[in-house]
Amino acid sequence: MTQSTGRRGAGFWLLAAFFALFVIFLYGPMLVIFILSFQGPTGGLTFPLRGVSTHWFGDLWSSTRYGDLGGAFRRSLMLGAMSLLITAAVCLFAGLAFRRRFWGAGPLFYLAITSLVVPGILLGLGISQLFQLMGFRLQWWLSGLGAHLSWTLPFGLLIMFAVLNRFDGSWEEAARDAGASPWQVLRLVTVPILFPGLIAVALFGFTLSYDEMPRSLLTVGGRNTLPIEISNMTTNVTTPALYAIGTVTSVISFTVIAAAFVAIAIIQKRRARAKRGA
Amino acid sequence: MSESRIDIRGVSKLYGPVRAVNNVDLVIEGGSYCCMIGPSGCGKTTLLRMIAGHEAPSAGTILIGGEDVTHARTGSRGTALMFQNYALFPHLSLTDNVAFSLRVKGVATAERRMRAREMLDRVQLGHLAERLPSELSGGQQQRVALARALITNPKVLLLDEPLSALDEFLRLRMRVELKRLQNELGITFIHVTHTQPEAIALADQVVVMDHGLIEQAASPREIYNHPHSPYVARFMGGQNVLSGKVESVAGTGAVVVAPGGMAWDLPEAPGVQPGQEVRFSVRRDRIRVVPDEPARNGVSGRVINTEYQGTFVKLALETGSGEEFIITMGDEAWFARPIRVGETVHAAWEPGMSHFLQGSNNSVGTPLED
Repeated sequence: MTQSTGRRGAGFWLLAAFFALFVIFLYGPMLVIFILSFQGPTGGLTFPLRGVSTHWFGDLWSSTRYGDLGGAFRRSLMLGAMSLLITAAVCLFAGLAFRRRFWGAGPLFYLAITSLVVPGILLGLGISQLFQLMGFRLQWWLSGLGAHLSWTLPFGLLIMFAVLNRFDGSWEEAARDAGASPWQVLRLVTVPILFPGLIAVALFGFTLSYDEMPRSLLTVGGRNTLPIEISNMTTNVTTPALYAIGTVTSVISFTVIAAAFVAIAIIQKRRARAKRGA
Repeated sequence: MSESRIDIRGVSKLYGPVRAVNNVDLVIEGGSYCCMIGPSGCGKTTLLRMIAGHEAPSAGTILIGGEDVTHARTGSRGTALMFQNYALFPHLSLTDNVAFSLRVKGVATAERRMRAREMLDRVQLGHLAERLPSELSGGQQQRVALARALITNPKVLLLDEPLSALDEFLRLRMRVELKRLQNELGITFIHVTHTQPEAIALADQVVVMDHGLIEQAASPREIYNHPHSPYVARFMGGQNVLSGKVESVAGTGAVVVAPGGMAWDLPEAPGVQPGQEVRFSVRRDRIRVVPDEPARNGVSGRVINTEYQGTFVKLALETGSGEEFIITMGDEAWFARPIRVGETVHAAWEPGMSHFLQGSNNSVGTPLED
């Protein structure tokens, strides 16, 4: 680089263009769907817009053409919430346990991670076969939840490892030294210090479950979750209602994440208040 | 003060095949200041953690105030440990950090916060009571850790390398502070360090460890003047270690001859046999530089280094023994007739200064001097 520092080299512009392409690729499609969901009542699946309306959002709720969309949405939310709670709780304790090199820790870890590698559709097929073999009926809240956990738990565990990397075990020792029982150590020291990381694990549990599709296909039984319902719509619905449902689900995902951030902010504010006054 | 006396009987700690602590017996008198010293991995921290209850001994018993606490729960045996990295809770204010042990005992909020504030005032941090630990300097964090340990009213305060994270200036100040605190509280302090001047300055009892064993446990003066083994003499510093063969024995004394022919008198060397290889130590500050080669009780060597230390000058001689021979002489004597590197120097000492080293541990040690 013999040029003066004020001038940008060709490398900068090349990388900037690459980054711009990346951003367009990332958010362009979402933006297109968002805009097209406000298509006028007579508009179609493509540009140009024929007027602007919220017609297709209303159509989603009033029309019966789209099957059990509300039910699917409710089931997906429930599954997401259950995955969130179970993932956070299990990953917390599993992560704490893996800090000790207990007997069989290595094989157990790889066993847990394997289900990330196995193709989801095969895993789903296996679960459905196993259930039928044992004479159980496939239910979204049982076999479906199990399939989702096979996806969210290993992921959550990996995040938990990263979170625990910055956790100093001598905090727990100091608490024990002060006379705290194991339960008090967990409640007053371990969980509060890990809390922000736990929220990240829980959010992953929710979002991974909320848009899970390959593992769900063969395991939810007679009642579909939202991603399956939307996938079905893409093959037999030819109106912008498809885009409307896309916009609605995206907004819900963002709302959940925003809610988590608000929760963290409230907790921190409460701590700050506790800090200020006795 | 016997309620804070500590008896360690036959305690071992094994990590797989490694004996971190090997069949240790030790008595620490109640209300005394005990320093455990040794190189990294000598077992001093493991022993401390077993007293605190953070590790369980593989064998042996530990008594505090006559009560067997070998398997008593941590935090219920009258000890408080101050961690090397302080381990302050990052999510709690200083007040809540200090009040933590009261909180787990179920003391009401108002009372425990009041008592924590008093303790913080005592370590001169009352004005920062509502700060978080991350907002403090290293020295302040250390005082919070001290306050958190002391609020439990322990019989024994355990300190794991408490001064190692501080800079030189703060370290010397906190050293004084710790000694003052121990005098004031009258409880037993056990302080783990790898710094020799720290141990000498603070302790009533110094415990020198190596490879999981206690080499010597005695007062600093005893350790410094009568080291048990070549290892202790080298590790604590201030000594020269010499070796030779016993030529003759007379009463409890002996005459030792160096490979080069110099004869040394050992006034006290009980149990040695003629022909035996023995080692002894001579304090560096008890050696005189003499003009002519002495007949007995001296060495000769080439000066390889001189170091001015303010009140004295340190002279290192190469004598052919494989180990540097060091003389410290008064600065006035040195400046009256400076000695240059490369000169040959003769040194001598009174026979009474030669201290026979009974112990067999001949490792080099790593004398860390501040």
